[in-house]
Amino acid sequence: MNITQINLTIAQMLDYTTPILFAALCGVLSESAGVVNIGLDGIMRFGAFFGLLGAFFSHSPWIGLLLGIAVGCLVGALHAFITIRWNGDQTVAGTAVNVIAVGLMTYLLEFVFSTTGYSPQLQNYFGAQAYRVQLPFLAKIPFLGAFSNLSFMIWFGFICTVLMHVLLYHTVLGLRIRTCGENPKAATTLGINVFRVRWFAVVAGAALAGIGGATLSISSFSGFSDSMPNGVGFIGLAAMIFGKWTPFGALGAALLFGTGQIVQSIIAVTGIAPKLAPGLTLILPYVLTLAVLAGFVGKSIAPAADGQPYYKEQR
Amino acid sequence: MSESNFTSKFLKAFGIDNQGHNRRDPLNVWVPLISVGLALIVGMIVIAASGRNPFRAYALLFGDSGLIPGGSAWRREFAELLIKSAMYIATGLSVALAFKGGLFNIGAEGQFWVGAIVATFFGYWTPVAHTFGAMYVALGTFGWIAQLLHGAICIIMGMLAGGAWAAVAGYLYVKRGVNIVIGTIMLNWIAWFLITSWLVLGPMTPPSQTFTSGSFYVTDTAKLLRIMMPTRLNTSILLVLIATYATWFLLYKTTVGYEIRAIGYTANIGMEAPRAQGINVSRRILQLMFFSGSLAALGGSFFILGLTYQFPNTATMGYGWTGIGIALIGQSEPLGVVLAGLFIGALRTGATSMQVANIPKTFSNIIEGMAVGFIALQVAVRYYLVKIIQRRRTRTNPPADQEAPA
Repeated sequence: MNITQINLTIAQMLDYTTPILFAALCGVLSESAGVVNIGLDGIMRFGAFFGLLGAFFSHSPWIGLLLGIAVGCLVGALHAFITIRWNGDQTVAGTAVNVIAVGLMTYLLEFVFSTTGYSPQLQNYFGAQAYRVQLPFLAKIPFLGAFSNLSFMIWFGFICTVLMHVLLYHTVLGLRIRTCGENPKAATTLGINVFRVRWFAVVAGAALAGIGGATLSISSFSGFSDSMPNGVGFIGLAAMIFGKWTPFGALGAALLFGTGQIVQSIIAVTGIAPKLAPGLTLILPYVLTLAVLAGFVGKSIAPAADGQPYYKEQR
Repeated sequence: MSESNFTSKFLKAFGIDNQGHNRRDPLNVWVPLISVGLALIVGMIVIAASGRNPFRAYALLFGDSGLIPGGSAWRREFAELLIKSAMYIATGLSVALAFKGGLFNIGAEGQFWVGAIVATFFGYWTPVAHTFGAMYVALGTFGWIAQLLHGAICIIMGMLAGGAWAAVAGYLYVKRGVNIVIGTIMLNWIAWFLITSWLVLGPMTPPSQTFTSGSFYVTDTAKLLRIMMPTRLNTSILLVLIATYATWFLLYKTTVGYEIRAIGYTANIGMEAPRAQGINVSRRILQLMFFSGSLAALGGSFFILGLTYQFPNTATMGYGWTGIGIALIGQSEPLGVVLAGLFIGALRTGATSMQVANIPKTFSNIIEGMAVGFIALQVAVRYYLVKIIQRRRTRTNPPADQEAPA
């Protein structure tokens, strides 16, 4: 492989990485506040469809992105309503979101576009040349050249990671969010409104998952397909755990899992190792995550109050 | 009050329970019924909002669901309903049994497919398949014995494998403290990719075929017997009813079941009581995961031996996820799971006909998901139900009663 090919491969890897990254960031934010969001795969499906819808009818991916964020917030609010307002089981609520997303998006795809399987393709999407962030001075440098011509969404993913890190570890709100995830009772004692903080974390996190879904349909690909997000939300969940519930950890895990995906497609395209089945690279994220959780490779520990409903009156 | 009398009789008759709640709470029956009812109403709103006639759609949905006898195609629809329900009841039982022990086995999906692939393997693997093939010929009119044995071996091997797959999550939970939800989700995808992106793309496919053809076909002796001839209804529904009874028996008539329930009741508060009583909690949790996984795998073996006869390239996920919904709607009780499984099976069967009215068959997912959502909201549903009941009580006999509820 020459330099251009290597650069292209890295760029393609980043294309795989970004949706995983957004999903993982959603998990990081919401679980830092103590709310498990299994439904982020479903929220991504919502984001992917509505992102495409906005981009298709307005001919601008920006509108699609906004619509993806809006619908992500809405579904997140539903999750928050069930799990925070009424202390519903977080895993059950997440499962409900996933199942509804499967049915409703197929229904809407048929209703809006009268097609099954695939939506019409977009002309104006973030992956199109006109919407790419051009950094020509990098183009000739090996490895860094990959960053010379990337979709906006990839940069946006990096920015969000940094912003999330600053939010969680360098602001008062971040400290409050983490307190609510570690010990909500102590948070209440300090005068923090646990419910409000959790609402914020879940809705903002869901917005990120919505962006992640929109990334799939209007950046990585130029349309919505019925199989989306094809488990990317769950890889994101794995990335969040593998990254030990931190934004930069999530970025690292997403890059690793993205590399796994690209290795698989390189094998498929070039036929370097025909004996190596794609399944063996596809399971990599999940095996690594289990290994980390089980403490075979380092140790990943969830926030202490993760997944527990909070009852104000309870002692 | 008359309504609470009725519900408590209903309860006594069926012993419907919900973990963590009073077994005699009459609302346990009403919460899933109301959740499903609300979900059906939301489904109507979705159809109406997209400019279609909800009544026509529901007429198609329930008319062709196999629930209502009559019509020329009823026998076929009824058979389809039972075939689908058998698989859903199996995964539903799997999730419900784990719930009883306080575990959220979200991995019924993976266990289902592990059961399916292992059943496929023993269905076509030459040493086994040839033995039973020869036996079938040798036995002549008693050939059905060979069919019975071969089917049983496929199913049992599938169940053992599915159980072992679930026990991995149980082991990681008990020994290494890995959250069971996360562990089973990860194992789901590991199973799915190992099977669909490796096993059925090479090791288990006929060499002459292209990679889109799926696995080998199982031999005739491995297929489940058909019991209603013009239709493809097979013995799976009978087997799953036996499994349901076995699950009920395990839970309520054996010491192991008692201990599982003791663990489940105290799962949120550290399981001190069962430990103090001398129950080996780790061991029971491992066993529970094994039982749970083998039930899901039973459904997987039905999928192969009763429907597709090979591991198809077009298999899509969803059976285990549906099982979660069924366990929740059935309130984790074996009988409730059967009723919920029949209902979802009916929805899925009828949804195919809704395509006539331009409604995709995934519409049933909307209803299912909504029902699960309303069950997640059950605190709210209970709250408003109690409010409504109280208002009715104060209206019928106003004075003395009013002070009573604190």
